[in-house]
Amino acid sequence: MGREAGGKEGIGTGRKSCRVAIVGNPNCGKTTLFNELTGARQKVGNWPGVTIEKKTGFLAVNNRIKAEIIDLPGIYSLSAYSLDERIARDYLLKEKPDAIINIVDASNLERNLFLTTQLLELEIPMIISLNLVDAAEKKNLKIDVDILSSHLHIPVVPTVALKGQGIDKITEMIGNVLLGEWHKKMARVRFGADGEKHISEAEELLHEAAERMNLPLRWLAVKLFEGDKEYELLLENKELLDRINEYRGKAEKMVGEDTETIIADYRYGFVCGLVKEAVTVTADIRITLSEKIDAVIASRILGIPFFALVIFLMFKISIDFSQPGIEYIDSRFALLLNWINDQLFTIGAPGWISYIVVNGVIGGTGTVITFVVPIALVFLCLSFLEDIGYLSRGAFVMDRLMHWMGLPGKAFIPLILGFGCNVPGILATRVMENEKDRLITILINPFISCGARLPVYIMIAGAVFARNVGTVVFSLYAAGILMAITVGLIFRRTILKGPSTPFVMELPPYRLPTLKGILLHTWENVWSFVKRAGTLIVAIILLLVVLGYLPVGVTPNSKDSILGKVGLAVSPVFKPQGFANWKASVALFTGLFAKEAVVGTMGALYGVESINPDSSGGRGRIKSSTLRAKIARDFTPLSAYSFLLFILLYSPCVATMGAISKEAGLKWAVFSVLFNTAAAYIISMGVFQIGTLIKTLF
Amino acid sequence: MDHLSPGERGKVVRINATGDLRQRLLAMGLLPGVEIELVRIAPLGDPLDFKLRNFHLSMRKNEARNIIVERFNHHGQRGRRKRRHWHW
Ligand SMILES: Nc1nc2c(ncn2[C@@H]2O[C@H](COP(=O)(O)OP(=O)(O)OP(=O)(O)O)[C@@H](O)[C@H]2O)c(=O)[nH]1
Ligand SMILES: [Mg+2]
Repeated sequence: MGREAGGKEGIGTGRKSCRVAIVGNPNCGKTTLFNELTGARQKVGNWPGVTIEKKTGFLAVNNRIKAEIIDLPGIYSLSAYSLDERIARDYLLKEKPDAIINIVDASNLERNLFLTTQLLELEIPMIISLNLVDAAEKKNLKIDVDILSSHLHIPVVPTVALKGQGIDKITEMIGNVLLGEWHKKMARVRFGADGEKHISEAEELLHEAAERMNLPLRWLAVKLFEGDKEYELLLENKELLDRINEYRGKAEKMVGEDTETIIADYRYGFVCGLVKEAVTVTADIRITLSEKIDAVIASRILGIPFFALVIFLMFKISIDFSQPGIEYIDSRFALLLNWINDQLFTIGAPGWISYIVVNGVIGGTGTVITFVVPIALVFLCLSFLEDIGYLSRGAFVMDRLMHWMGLPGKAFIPLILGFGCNVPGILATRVMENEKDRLITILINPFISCGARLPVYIMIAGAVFARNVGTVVFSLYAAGILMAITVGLIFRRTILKGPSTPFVMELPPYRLPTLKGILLHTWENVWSFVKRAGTLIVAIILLLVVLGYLPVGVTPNSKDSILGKVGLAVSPVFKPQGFANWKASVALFTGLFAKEAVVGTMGALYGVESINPDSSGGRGRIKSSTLRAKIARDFTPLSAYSFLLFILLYSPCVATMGAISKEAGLKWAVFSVLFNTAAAYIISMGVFQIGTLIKTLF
Repeated sequence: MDHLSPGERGKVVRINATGDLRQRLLAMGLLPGVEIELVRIAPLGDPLDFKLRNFHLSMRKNEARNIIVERFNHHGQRGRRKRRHWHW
């Protein structure tokens, strides 16, 4: 890196700063190249207003130029239909980077170069990184780089981003291009004699408009000729538009095909011609390795079992393997808590300060950190599956089932993960492209019965239902799934109506991922969870702790605390559900910390000895026989079932709220709290009332 | 296109899809004249896995229905892709 580029114009001493965008098809190695170019100096954020990742980083091109590198979303074309495409197109045409690195997948040249033909019209200096040449070699394809370069009139650098090959050359070429050394005209696709005539006529008319809209003239002419909706709206002079549409109409009538298709056909024609010249097939392989693998693991018979196995392993790794980690962190935190408690005591801090600091601030932080382990493991698995190419196979296999719910196949994984914990389930929706689908998948996730709810079911069902505990617990799981499906269908038809997105997805060849890439991606996701969801979680926990502590002097979380009083005041509200006792109400409050806190709270409130004082931790050991008897006194089987249903369905816990807020916005987190609680209220009431009615009738 | 059976090949004749889907298909190079093969059907009967221009594309029957193909008579017959010249 930092080789001297033979630039001509003197640019003073200070480094010039430039912006360079990486553009290419999905899965062609953009992020890998980006990581190679920028090293550790990168920033991950979102594109304004959307959850699509925006990555930027810096590269010292040479001693004159420092470039900001932008990793754009993967796209197949520069139309303005999908969100990804709009982001990329807006960035390229409105923000106008100083140069483009177009990554092209050498093992799939034809389709990748289609985008290139569009980029060539943007009048932005460009180089091509002909990536994955190793994969092309495996397919027995030999590509003549010089032919590509001379036909496209731009530099073409063969690279293997995965192994860092060709990166120096890319850096050098960017340097040259940025210093203005490349002033040859780039190639352009010609749309046949007749087409060119129409387009140049349109260009004549559009000179002014193009200048005003700050767009390349030919690009605008071609796009309007194709009937691009965005530019049609932007074009102020509607007479002009009519003229252009007239040409379009004429052309379409003559050919019997719409202009979009004709233009695309010319582009592909150009590309096919180029590929034919530049690529030699050294030996014809009929079936690639990826296809052989797919013939087994995506087949009619083995497709689903294999998918189930993958999910099972992921579950196992993220939930089971995280237990030791969580316990370790928990124990370390307990030590820290005690230590801080002692310190506060020795410096003579008032009791209330210690209580709030220890339980609220530190305890809250502890809750966030215990979530880090399963989240990290889930993302490790997801990044691996995505990079290796299995995620799209999973979507392929499960799509039918999900389609029935109005969701794409990719929604399956987040929902399944929800059984472990809703937080990673919600974060895993990142693999979904469509915003509405994603939002539905996020909102129904809390209904999936997470692992933290199981101890609650076992405690209460165990106390009240002598023999049928298993059946009761199973029915709760089933009720959760049923609810998720029903609510999903309702949302799809009401607040999140939208054309069910057409399912057209590439099945990329399997590829070996890099450890570095996977770790980097995992780290980014974990960090952003801690940063964004973490603050909200700590804030809510702090509030609940304070409410449980005040007024000064009462036993925390007792009947006399604000929390207890609220519980007492609120409990009549649950009369229709049959559990109008204040202890249940307080347990529901603390259940907002984490659903398993219901166990700790019930334990504490039902006055069992040997429970650690902070009810929020909820991991105290409970002498269960006496506790069971006491709980059984307060509930009938019917009211207990209604209580359990309520716990299953009501507001997601703070960590889940944090996750929803992070992924969908605070508005949707609030919506989820209100909607789910209302749903829980109505459903438990229905169950209790109908149950009571049946009992009185028989 | 949803009438092909696994392993069968054909040539795209017409694309009836509109809007978003049409754009997407065109960008993928699914144009009239291109050769396409149905590779397999997903375990639950939908979606389908097609191969064209040397890559794999999966889509639901619903979407595939909008793409009219002309089946090749014999398995494996290779149709030469002709460069088309439009006269407009
Ligand atoms: N064999 C080989 N694999 C590569 C090369 N470059 C990237 N890969 C692998 O290809 C896969 C996709 O790479 P990414 O960098 O995530 O691709 P991307 O273009 O950022 O993908 P999207 O962000 O999904 O559009 C990963 O598994 C990489 O390890 C290469 O030159 N050779
Ligand atoms: Mg990427």
